This record gives sequence, structure tokens and C-alpha cells, in this order.
Amino acid sequence: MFTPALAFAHTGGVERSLALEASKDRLHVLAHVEVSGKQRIETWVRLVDVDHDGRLSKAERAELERRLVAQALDGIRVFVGSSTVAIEGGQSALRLETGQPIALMVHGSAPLPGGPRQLAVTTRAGGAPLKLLVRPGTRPVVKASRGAPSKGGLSVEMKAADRVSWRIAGE
Amino acid sequence: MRRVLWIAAVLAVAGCKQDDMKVVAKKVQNRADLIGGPGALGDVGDFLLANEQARFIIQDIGPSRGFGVYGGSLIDADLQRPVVAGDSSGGIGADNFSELFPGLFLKAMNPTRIEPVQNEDGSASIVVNGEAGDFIFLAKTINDVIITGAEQLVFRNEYRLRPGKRYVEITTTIRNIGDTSVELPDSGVNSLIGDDLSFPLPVGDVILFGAGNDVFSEQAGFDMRFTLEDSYEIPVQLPQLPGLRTPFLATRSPDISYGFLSGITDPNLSFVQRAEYEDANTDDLLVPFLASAFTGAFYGAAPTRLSSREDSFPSCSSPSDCGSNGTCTPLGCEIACDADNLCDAGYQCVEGTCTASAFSYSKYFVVGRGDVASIRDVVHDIRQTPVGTVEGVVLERFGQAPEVGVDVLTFDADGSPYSQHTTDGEGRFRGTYAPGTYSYRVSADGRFPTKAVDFEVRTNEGTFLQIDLDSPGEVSVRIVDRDTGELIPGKCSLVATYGAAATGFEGREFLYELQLGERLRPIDLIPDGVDPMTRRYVEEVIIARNGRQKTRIRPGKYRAYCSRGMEYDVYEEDIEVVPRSVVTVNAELSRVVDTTGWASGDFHLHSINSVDSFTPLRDRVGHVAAEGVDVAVSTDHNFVTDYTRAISSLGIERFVQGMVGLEMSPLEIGHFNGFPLKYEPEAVGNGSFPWSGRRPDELFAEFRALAKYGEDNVIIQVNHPRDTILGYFNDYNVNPDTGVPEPSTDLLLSPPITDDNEFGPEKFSWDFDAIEVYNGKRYELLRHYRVPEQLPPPPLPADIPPAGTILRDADGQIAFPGGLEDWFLLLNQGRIYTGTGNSDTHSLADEPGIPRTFVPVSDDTPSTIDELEIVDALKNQRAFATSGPFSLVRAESEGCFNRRTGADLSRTACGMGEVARATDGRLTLVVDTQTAPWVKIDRVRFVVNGDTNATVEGDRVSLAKVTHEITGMERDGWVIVEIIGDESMFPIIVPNELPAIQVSDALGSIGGAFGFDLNPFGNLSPSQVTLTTPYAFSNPIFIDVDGNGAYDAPMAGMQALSASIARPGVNAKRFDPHGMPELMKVFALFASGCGHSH
Repeated sequence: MFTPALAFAHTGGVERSLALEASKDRLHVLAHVEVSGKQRIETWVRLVDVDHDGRLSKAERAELERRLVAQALDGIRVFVGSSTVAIEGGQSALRLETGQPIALMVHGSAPLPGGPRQLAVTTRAGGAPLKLLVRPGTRPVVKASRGAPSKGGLSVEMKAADRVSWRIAGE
Repeated sequence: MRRVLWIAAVLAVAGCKQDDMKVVAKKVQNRADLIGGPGALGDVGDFLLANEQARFIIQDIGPSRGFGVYGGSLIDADLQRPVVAGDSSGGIGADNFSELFPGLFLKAMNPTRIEPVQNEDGSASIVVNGEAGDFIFLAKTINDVIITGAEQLVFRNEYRLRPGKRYVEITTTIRNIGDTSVELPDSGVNSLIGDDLSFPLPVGDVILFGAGNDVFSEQAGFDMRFTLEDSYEIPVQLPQLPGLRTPFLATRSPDISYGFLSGITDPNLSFVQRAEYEDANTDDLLVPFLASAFTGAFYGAAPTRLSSREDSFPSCSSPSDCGSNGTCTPLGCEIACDADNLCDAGYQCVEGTCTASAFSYSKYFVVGRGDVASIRDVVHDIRQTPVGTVEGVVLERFGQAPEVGVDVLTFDADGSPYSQHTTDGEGRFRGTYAPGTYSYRVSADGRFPTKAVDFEVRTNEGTFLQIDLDSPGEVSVRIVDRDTGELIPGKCSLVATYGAAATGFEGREFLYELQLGERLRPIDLIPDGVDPMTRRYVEEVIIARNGRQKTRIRPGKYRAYCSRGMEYDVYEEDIEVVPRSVVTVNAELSRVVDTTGWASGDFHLHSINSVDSFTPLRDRVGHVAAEGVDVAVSTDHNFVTDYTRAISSLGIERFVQGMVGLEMSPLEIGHFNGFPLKYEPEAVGNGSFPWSGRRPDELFAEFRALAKYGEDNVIIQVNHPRDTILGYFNDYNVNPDTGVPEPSTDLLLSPPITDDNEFGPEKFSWDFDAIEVYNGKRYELLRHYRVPEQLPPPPLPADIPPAGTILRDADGQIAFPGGLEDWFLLLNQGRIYTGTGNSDTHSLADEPGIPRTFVPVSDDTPSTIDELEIVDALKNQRAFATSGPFSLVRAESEGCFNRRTGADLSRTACGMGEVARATDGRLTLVVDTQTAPWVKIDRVRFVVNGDTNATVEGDRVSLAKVTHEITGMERDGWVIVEIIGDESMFPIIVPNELPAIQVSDALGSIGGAFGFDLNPFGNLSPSQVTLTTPYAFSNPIFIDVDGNGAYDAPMAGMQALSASIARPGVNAKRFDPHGMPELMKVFALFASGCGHSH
């Protein structure tokens, strides 16, 4: 039997990414997580289907969304300079359609001072891998610790306990 | 069938050159230069393009006179005719076209400059320059997400006519004039649908062929609707969009036909090629929707990127940098396109030069002689298809008389519709065919369609077809008043039964063939059983406009039901129609419902002057008279019509009176009727006024300015307030729980709100008089939708509430509000409007007067009904809306008062609209109901303050007089009475079998391809398909419990409270993609259900 505990022990079938975009005074953050594979999807659904009726009520769906938000953001820290930033105005949206992967997005933003800045993202030890996408926005990437900046943006595969930093232009 | 060589004849025709006549392009200075015809919209100031074959009108800058938004569109088109000169009242041609304008996905062109041009090659052009504008503002946000930087784009539309051609070649050029490049679509869209997919942004045209044009395509024939709907069932993956693929579109109508085809030859600019449709031809059209006379045609695909103006050309420092085909200019290398008009990758051929900042695509608009074949000939000519010629004649088998105006439909070897011919005055037809094997079938009045007969066509050869057709039968009806013996307008419905083998099938699957262009035969819509009376259909409705009519009928046994609306009984007779004979039906009818002192009115009627109706004026008023409606108010879309001449020409003044009105029909802020109005035949639209960009209060002010009897004596009626995007209350998001217009919470599907446009809750106006609560057979628009006992088949949403519960969306808002319950809420809040019922009929298939509204008048003789008395009644809630029962409702009270003036009326029996004093909280209602025997009623319901107070069950005899006492009233209120029947009025009144397709459905079909789920409720939604059963309601009698002689609304305080709550929320959730970071757009799209996650 494929239990929920086993499901979470495997990272395969759960993919997550983090996109960042700098504007004049905000750093926009978009986290995305997707659960694919029929068995794994069923496991996630069974996990929150507390009345075992095979359907997700509003409350059960909210619980699924809460868990996926946690999964999407698990162990991720975003730095501006040497400080961790708090993400404000977070909103999440869940996509749950028959036969399709479960998908969730979380969007928020943090204050970003003007002028050239050093930004970084870290992942925790033992955490899930992360695809990091930096979009140019109005302040393109000028230099990065890993991955070559392309068209003002950056794309890097991050592992557990990883760190990527880059520098953006001022506006 | 016999084969002859027609080569000589073909060559002779081909050699008959008429190319030396001049092509004219000019601004119209005189109305005599206009085209004219049933669909003509042109006026002085527009532009004329004409040669010896055809004429076209392009509208001047300004609001669209059709159903679109902007000017600059092609609005009239006709063949040159032997007599073309019009006079000061306009042209006398046969235009029946509505409007054609280009679209970049869902963006249209807003013109800024139009000029006529005479070209060196002998052709002439009308050139329209403009900018990108929104066509459907509801979709503006989607547009802005998909096309970022549209403000940098300029459009150029060149309509070019060459000598000797009866088509106009239209080249649309879209150019980026900004300092930055524009991605088409925006990169955020492609990031949503996947890295390895690239969505080619579709470009094409919106074509409003107009009612009366039956649209034809390959695959579908004339059954565009269901073929298109079936295509939606086939899942497609982006970048493909759902829809019907066809090499061209054509129409059929009595005097003129139109065609449309793509002129794209570059696969990189072809949507079907770029989206990789299987077996696609570069110039195929994709028709994604066809709704409310709008036909969408996508065929071009925008380049993925339009460079900035500075980067239009490769840079150069010397002529040698540009090669032999290029010239080094200060802008860069201007390189000529190659012989096939192609350029290197990243560049497009525009006006002969390769550029990276613009692209062009072309199409052809064709006029024909009324059939598809005359369009198909031009398609072959343009595409240089090798052809043979088919010529033939259709004769009546018995006497060999020519069959005039019959349809010969042809099919290719795969059985797909290929062409259609209409026989001429000698029964002849002719057209060109690509070589191959075909078959033909013939469809004619009073005959069943013939079986398929094969024939063959060879290149440059002729094929002759002689077709013999069986004879029709005829039915002649004569309808008289049994009491007076006078001829009276009426109708006879010929009803037949179908076999038990057809049980469970839809009518279109066995009774008639829409593909052939046959008309619908309404079925009874009751479950089929052993009893043949459960398997009935109406073969024909013969409308005797002045008491007599003769019509061709297909042979068979029928039962004739002759009627004259709800006030008369029905005459029935069995008949058998056989070929070559005339069956006469002499019907006598008696008036069985006494409506003395009341006039019935239908305040919502369409005719040929509406873009979506093809009903001639005489047929319209004749049909109204045949249904026994006393007053016919003309309410054509954005056009003022006067029925007077049509009524007098039929000699039916004794039976029906016309009243001049107008349905102001903006695309997205609701539809409003105004009447009685002035008729100004010299003005554009006979006095109608523009709507684009104007707020409701501005439109209402225009109605008052146009009022026939002064601004205080005009009725402004809100039509079908909850009908999709055509409903005023829906468009302004009037909360059905609070009665307050609220900001939309929809992130994507909501129009933009700015201070100077018409959208937003603060633009809503309450300054109207009546609400059309009861619209046609749209019973589903009456009450809020409740979960039914029997759930419909999937798809269904999760978490369905119990049966009987009002269905609400995720935000708790009522999912499908009903106008009747809106009206109740407004009455509770003290917003007093008159509830009306009107047919909104467009064709002869829907009966006028179903429903109708009765108002009290001093003289109910149709020819002398005082229009001002109707206005007065409608301003004071003295109105009774009904599809069958007629009731007199009164309250026995302590005293009656005028609600508006407070005057004591010095009587105790109070009528609708009056205030009845009931200080002891008790009020007795008396309802006298009359019905014709064919109108079966089952209950009378008393509704107090919106809640059912009592229901009395019975039948038409026991319910003829119902008395009910309301007790326990503790504060002021109101009461209305509903009279309800459960039994269908078939065949006198046919069911609503085919729901209308709305523009919103079309948006849904496109949105669905992108993952927008516009109906999260699936099939758990109200159905338009319904029996037509008797239903009527009174207007309110107001109840004065506190004894002050006035109506003090029980929820008057809620108005102010709700308004104060709603106001701070304006724009709170609005999604404005301009300047928005990419990630926010991506999230907004994801949250709205759009696209794949990635």
C-alpha cells in the first residue's frame, strides 16, 4: 500500500519552482508546486479527505491548499542584501481538476530598495529541489553566482541546502 | 443527366472583357449615391467603392452603425444593378450585409483617418488608418494580458477594388510604431502554455452577415450552428483553438449573397499552419464562433514579435550591406520581398518591402447573385483552381414547368457540402466545379428533399443536369369571425405526427435537414410514447395577415389548428394534402375572453430593420395582428421603425396599431427600449442615436429628447435584465440580494472602469420606468435558479446544495439571478418600476404577444387607442403581463389612494398600482380570470413582499374567480398575483426548442481553449429549452397598513445601507495588467483557471 508517509518521502512527482521579479520598489515572488502521477495525486487527496467520501469539501480543499502552500515554500529563504525578507500580501490559488496534476501558485511581494542590490535564495538541508527563475522585470540581472544571466533573467536548478545569489541593476 | 462540351461557352464568357470601366473611390456627398436595400447602413460622409460589377460602402469614422463598435468597417455591399440611381432618401439596391471589421485576436481597429485612393493599375482603394481598440470590453483584460503594448500598434486596412471584379481585396497591416518591440502574444502567455509551445496569435475578421443570410461552409452546409457546436466537443490542445475549418464562407439570400475567404499564401502567416492543424491549407479559415449574427473568422497568425520602429530593417552603412535586392536608407536596408512575397526569417513582406516591425494579411469579400455557387465561382477564380462547368434546369415533373427559386445542393465525393444553386426565373442554374465526382439534392417548398444523384465534372468541360421534381400540394386558409362573418387576421398551424422509430431523437435528426438549409419544424418536446399525440410536430404555420393565405405544403395528413391569439378559441380540422391539389380550410373563430377596456401591447418587436432579424415589416405587423395583439411597438436594434405604412398597406388598421420605438442595444451595458418616439426619416437610423462609450443615463436622456410627446411621456424599459451580457443588471453586477450594483470580482472577465467610460457601478442609472421581467419564452430568466430535484447529467460542480436551494457561486453570490425576483426586491426597497412581458420576437417562428402586456384604456379599438394612456398606465403600474390567462385583480380595502400623488380615490376597490388602505392588517384580493379553452391553468398564487402568501389550485373553471384574504400585515407592503398553468400550449404556441447563442457563449468557446472556465457550474444551470406554458402576473397593489395613505417600502432603509457598503469597494479587486509585473499576470491567469501551470 502506498501510504501518505511514503509519498512524501519521495520527491519524484512533486515539482516546485520559485520565480522572482524586481520592479522599482518591490520584489515579486511566485512559488509554484505541482503534484503529478495518478497514484500520488490520489494520495494527496486521500490525505485531506477526512470524511472518506471520495470528494473534497470546501474545508478539505482548503486544507489541501494549506498543505501545498507549505510544500511550495518549504525551507526557502529570500535575501535582499544580508537580510531575509518577509513576503507580504500572499495569495494562493489551487488547481484541482480530474485527470490533471494538482497545481498551486503562491504570489506575494516584498519591499525592495532602489539602487543596485544583491539578492539571494537559499534552500534548507533535506528540502525538496527547486527550480529558480529570475525574470528581468524593470531591474535586470547583471551578475550571478551561478547560471549565466540571459536576456536580463536567470534560470538555475537548486538542490537541498543550496544558495544562489545575483546582483540586479538599480532603477 | 447528360454531358455536353461547354468549353466554347466558357471561353466566350471569359473573353467578354469589361475591364475598361473606371473604378470609383470617393466620399459620398449625396444620398442618391448610396447602395440601399434591407440591410443598408450607409449614409452621406461614408466612402463608396464601385466598379461595373459591384458596389461597397465603408463607414466613416464614428461609432459603428451596425453591431460593432467603431466606424471604418465595410457596411454595405451589392452587385451593380440595371437601375441603381437612388434619390434623396437613399439607394434602391439590395444590400443585406451588416458589417465586416478586422480583429487582432479580440482587438479591433479604431479608425483615425480614411481616404479614397486611385491606384496606377486602374484599381481604386479606400484606405483606413487607425489604432487598436477593444471590441468586447468584457474581454479587455484578457486582451491586455495577451497583447501587451497594443497602444504601440497602428492598423491600416486597404479595401481595393479592381476593374471587372465583384470582390474587394482587403489588406490589413499592423505596424509597431513604438520604441520597443511588441511580442505577440505577450511572453507571459507562452510561459503559461509551455516552453515548447508557441501560441500563434490569431488574426482575422468579425463578419456580421446579418439576418436573412444563411451562412454556408464546407463540412457544415447551412448547418453552421450544430456543426460548430459539435466541433467544440472535440478536444483540441493549444496552440489550436476549437472551431470549424473551411476554405471559404458564403451565404444564401433571395437577391444577394456574400462570400469571404483568406488571401494568405505565406504559411508563416497562416494560423492553421502555425497551429499545425492536420491537413490544413494555408488559406483555410477557422470559424471559432457564430453567435447573434456575429461570425468570427481566424486565418492569419501574427509574427511572434514586431520589432520597434527603429529596428524595422537590418542596419547598413553602405549599399553593399543590403545585397542586390536592398537599398541602404537612413532607416536601414530596405529589401524587396521575393517573387512570392516572402522574406528572410524575422521579416514580413509589407507593401513589397521586408520589415520586422509590421505584418500584413489579406482577404477577399465577394458579392454574388444570391446563392453559394456565384461565390464559389469567384473563389475558384481567385485561387486559380482548374474547373469545369455545371449547368442545369429544374422542372416540375408533371407539367415540365420551370421550378423557380429552388435550392440545388451539391456534395463532394466524401459527402461534404460543396455548393448551392438557386434556380433562376427559368429554373436554371450554373456554376464552376473543381474536377471530381459530386452528387446533388434538391430542396424546395412543399416537397421533401430529393435523394442524392451523382454527377461528374472534368476540367474545362461542361456537365448538364436536368432535374425533375415532384409537385407540391397547397393549403388555402380563410379565417372569419364566427359572430360577424368578417375576415380576421389569424393563423393555421398544420400539425403531423412522426413515427415511433424516431423516439428520443431531436427534430433535426429526422424531421428536417439543416445542412440543406431546410427550416426547423417545431416538435412538442414532450416525452415520446405509444400515443401519437406525444409525437407531434408543426409542419407549417400559415399566417393569414388579413384573413386569407395560400401556401405550398409537403404532401401528407395534417390536423389544422387555426387561432387568433389568447382571446379567441381554436378551430380544428383534419386535412390531407396531395400533390397538384389545393385543400381549403374555412376556419371560424369566436372571441371567448372579454378584455373590454384593456389594450394588449407587445413592447418589444424586431423586424428587418434589426441586424439580427429578416422579417419584412408587413409580415411583422401581419403576424402581430394574427396573434390578436392590439398595439405593436417597433423596437429594432439602434433603428427607429414606423409600422404605419405596413399596417395600412395590409388594410388591418382595425386590428392593430403601431407605435414607434427603438431598442438601444449596446454590446455590454444592457438593452433598453424607448417608446413612443418621434420618427425622423431624414436622419441616420431614422433618429436613432449612438451608444458607444456612453453611460446609461446619457442613453436615457437621448430617449427623452426623442420622445414623441415630450420628455415626461416616454417609457424607458430595461429589457431582459438578466440575459447574459445583454442584461443591464448583469452588466452592472446588480447584487440580487441587495439590489445594489457592485464592482465585479472577476479578475479577468470584467470591463475596464475609468472616469470617462460607461462601466462601473457608479455609472448605473435608476432613471427608467419599466422592467421587462417576462421576455419571450425565457422562463429561466424569471426566478433565481434553484437546484432541481432531478440533477442534470455531468459535468456538475462539487458540493451541490440540496434541491430547492438557490445556487450560489464561490463568493456566495446568486449564480443565475432572475428578473422577477430582482423586481420583487426593488419593490420592497421602494424602487417602483412597472413589470412588463413582451415577446422580443425576431423571426416568424416566434409568436408576437407571447407574452404581451395589457393596460387599461378608455377606448380599446386598436385604431383609436390613445398612446398617452398607455404611457400613463405603464408609469403607474397598471399593467398585466401574460402568455395566455387574462385576469382582473382588485383589492377590497378601507380606501384607495394614488401612490404618486397621495390623492384619495374615494373608493374601496383598488386596482394595480394603487395604494389600498388596510389598517387592520387584512386585505381581500379578488381575481377574475378568463382563459380560452386551449389555455389550461392550474393555480393562482398571491405573492406578498416577494414571498408566496397563498396558492389556490384548480382549473380554468374553478379558478375563474378566486378570493383570498391576506391577514397579519404589520407594516406596509405590496401584493401581486401570478396565474400559472403546467400544460404546454402546443401547437398554438410552440416550445422554445433551440436556445439562442449569445456573444458570451462565443467568448466561452474561445476562453475555454485557454482554460478559462466561464461556467463553473457545468450543466447545473438554467435551461432555455422549455415548453411554453401559461403564465401571467399582475403589477403590485400597494398595501397601506400604517394608514398614512402612502406606500412605505418595508426595506427602504436597505437601499442606503447597501449602497454605502458597496461604494468603498469600487475597483478594489480590479486587475489592471498595464505596468503590472509579469509574475502578477501569470498568477492572475492561473487563479482564473487559465492555461497550463508551468
